[in-house]
Amino acid sequence: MADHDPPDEIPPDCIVYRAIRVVDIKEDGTPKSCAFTDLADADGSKDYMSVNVSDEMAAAGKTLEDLKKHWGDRYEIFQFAAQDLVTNGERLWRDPDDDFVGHGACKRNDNGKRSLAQKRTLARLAKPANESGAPAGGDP
Amino acid sequence: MTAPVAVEAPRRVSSAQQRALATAGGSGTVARQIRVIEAGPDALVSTILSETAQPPAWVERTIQYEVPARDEAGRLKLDTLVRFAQVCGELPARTPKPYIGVGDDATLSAEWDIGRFHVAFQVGNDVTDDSIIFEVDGGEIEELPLTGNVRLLAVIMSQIVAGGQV
Repeated sequence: MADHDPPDEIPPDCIVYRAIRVVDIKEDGTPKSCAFTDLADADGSKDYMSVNVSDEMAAAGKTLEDLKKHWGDRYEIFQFAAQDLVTNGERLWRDPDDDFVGHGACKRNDNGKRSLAQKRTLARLAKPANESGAPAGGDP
Repeated sequence: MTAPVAVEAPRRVSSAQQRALATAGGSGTVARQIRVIEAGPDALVSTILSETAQPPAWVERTIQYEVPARDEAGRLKLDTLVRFAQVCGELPARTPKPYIGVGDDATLSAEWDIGRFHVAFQVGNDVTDDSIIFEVDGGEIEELPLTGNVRLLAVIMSQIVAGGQV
């Protein structure tokens, strides 16, 4: 591992980004619950929710703006603190792919399917992404 | 006894959507026969429905246009669409139009933010995914299986709507 590489474990305070389709964002700017699902790929190879991990992006010199450009106008980027996902029953791990640096995976920690209540929990936790990493909207 | 009513669907509506609409009760108000006219093997879909209250006005358009638009990957099965339509058809007529979502996990959901209340249900290609959630004032999320609780959903929605939360 090179010096600038992030640790394997995702730090609790690390910001985790999730791209959400604009059509899955409600009029008040909050996401619908359906935006937080695992991918039902036919071969099961990506049976998790895709995210991007900010520390790995930063180590590679990539910014939130780069991620937004990667996803394009049909998507908005939301964010979580890694610890918020973990304390709410999710498991996170790094899962590099060729699409964009910092790709990660998020799955129920019991490896089960995410229930509607759990999706809603994530929808409540998700905040519009901002470069500082601080929650948008002035949450206490 | 009300005479059967013929409903002519737009030609671009698929047979799956026709069946789902017929199951939901179309836009009628009483027991009716729905005759969907379109070329193809499912040209005639006749369904006698039990007497129900008028379903919300948004149901037909949602099934015909919005759900297919949301299901970009074509993941949803006919049976999933039918169950979704059945639940929507049980809701009070004054139920506001929900936010519709199709998840990557092949689920179809409707959710409402009405005043203090958040109400949602989902159906999935896997029927064990079917569930309802209720939430008041952003508090604890209560989840119930959809099976056996559709009437409860309708009653709660009726109470929310009647309470002037819309």
